[in-house]
Order: sequence, then structure tokens, then C-alpha cells
Amino acid sequence: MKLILKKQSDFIGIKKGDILIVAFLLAVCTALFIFPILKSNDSKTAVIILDGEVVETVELLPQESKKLEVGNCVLIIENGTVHFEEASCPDKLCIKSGCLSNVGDTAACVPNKVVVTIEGKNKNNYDMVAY
Amino acid sequence: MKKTTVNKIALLGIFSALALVLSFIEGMLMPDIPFMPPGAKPGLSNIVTMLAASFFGFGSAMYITLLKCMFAFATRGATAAVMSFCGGLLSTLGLGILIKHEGKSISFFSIGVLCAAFHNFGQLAASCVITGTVLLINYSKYLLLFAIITGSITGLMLNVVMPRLQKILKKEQGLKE
Repeated sequence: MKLILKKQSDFIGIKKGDILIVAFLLAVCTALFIFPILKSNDSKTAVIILDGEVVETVELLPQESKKLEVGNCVLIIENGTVHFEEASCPDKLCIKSGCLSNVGDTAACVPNKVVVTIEGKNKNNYDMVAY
Repeated sequence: MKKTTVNKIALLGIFSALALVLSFIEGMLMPDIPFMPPGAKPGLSNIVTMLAASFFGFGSAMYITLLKCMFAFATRGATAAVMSFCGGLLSTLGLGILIKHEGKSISFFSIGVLCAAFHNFGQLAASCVITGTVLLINYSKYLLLFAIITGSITGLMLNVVMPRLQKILKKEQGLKE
């Protein structure tokens, strides 16, 4: 049996490469979190996608209340948020995603191919949707 | 020569069982953290995959990954299996490359983090293909953050466990020879 036996100390210490790699990933992660904050949007639109195609776009207004049936999922829009109410999938991860309220928030029901995302008003072109 | 093969088979069996049990129970242990991507799991079975890769090499790690994928298919259905396969494949391929550098410039700490990141992005890619939209990329920041946290936990755990395991296995071999 080929065992890697190098040291017999109680634990393997953290190496210089570790710190570099993890610091880099943390920096990327922080950037990803900060970047959307810089883009401020006054009005939000919920974009609902079924099997790669935009089927519904609903502006999220505080007073707006709506129930949508998309594929095998039921979506509820209320108080300027959107969430999955019902889904036929086994794991219900889309429902556990909770209410989406900020631009960039996304929830997906992968087995039913339903995706909901919130976009800012200024972004009218859905250049990120792949058909 | 023969004995080592039997040893390897037995240990690999234990590793596989461990990986399956860990991947099964971690789903139950996981609380629903509100801001975290739903379905995110700590990836405890990656500890076993890293062990297997370190002891027996890339092939054995891949074997455990594929076994986990079949297990996901049996317990959680086709979508979970595809997600498990894509994540597992990418993370094990990364592991195969990274494990060669273990002990030189990096330890299991960053291997754990990178493997967790590869795993998450493999799954993200799979879900993008299934749903037919790249909008799910919005998840990536949460996935990356979560990969750093869980990967650190599994990696550091292995940093502590590995020398002890090596000691035990070495002793066992010494007694038998």
C-alpha cells in the first residue's frame, strides 16, 4: 500500500500556499458581494423563466399581490417580494429559498426547470438569458 | 503484494461506506440557514474522498465519487444524481491534481476549500444546463462563501486526522509484516 508518510507530528500545519489560495478566494467572494450593492435600482422586476424561456415579467410593487402557476410550480408575488409557494419536486429547495426581494436574488426549482430572478429597472435587455 | 491488495480492498470498502453514511446524514444535520443557498451541505464525505485520494490515488477517489452519485440516484432521484455527478466529477478531478502538491506548498486546508468550490461550481453548471438559463450565476457568491467555510472545516479536520491515521495504518502494517 502506497502511503504518503512525510511527517509524524500531531497535525499538518497550514502552508503558505493555503493562505494565498484562501485569501484569493475570499477576495473574489467579497468582490462578488460588494459589486451588486454599487448598482442601485429603484424599481425591481421579477423575471420568471421556464425551461430557458422568459414566460413572465412582473414588476414588484409593494401593493401588488399575484399568484402565478408556472410549470409545476406556484409562485406568489406579494409586498414587493416573490417566492415559491408550491412545487412538485421532491426536495422543495425552491420553497426553502424563501422570499426574494433584492436585485440579483435568484431562486430555482431545478427538476421543474423554473427559475425566478429579480432584475433592476434599467436592465431591459435580458442579455444573460440563454435560449 | 497480495496482502496489500486485500488491505486496499478492505480499506476502500470502509471508506466507501463512510462516504455514503456521511453524505446521507449531513443532509439531515443541516439546518435551513436563511441566507445560504438552499440544499447546501457541509460536504463531509469530501474528507473521505481526500483520504482515499491521498492513500490510494485518484482512481479510488473517483470510485467513491461515482458510488456516491449512484447512491444519490437511489435515494434522491435523477436530478440529485446529475448534480452529484457534475459536482463530484469536477471536484475529484481538481483533487487528483491538487493532491500531488499536498505537503509541498499546500495542505489539506486549501485542497478542501478548492474542492468544495469546484464541487459547488460543478453543481451550478449542471443546474444552469438543466434549467436552460445562466441566471443562476447569481448564486455563485453564496456558493463561493459557503465553499470557503465548509471547505475550511473539512480540510482542517483532515489536517488533524491525517497524521494519526497514517500512524495507525503504519503500525498495523508493521505488526503484520
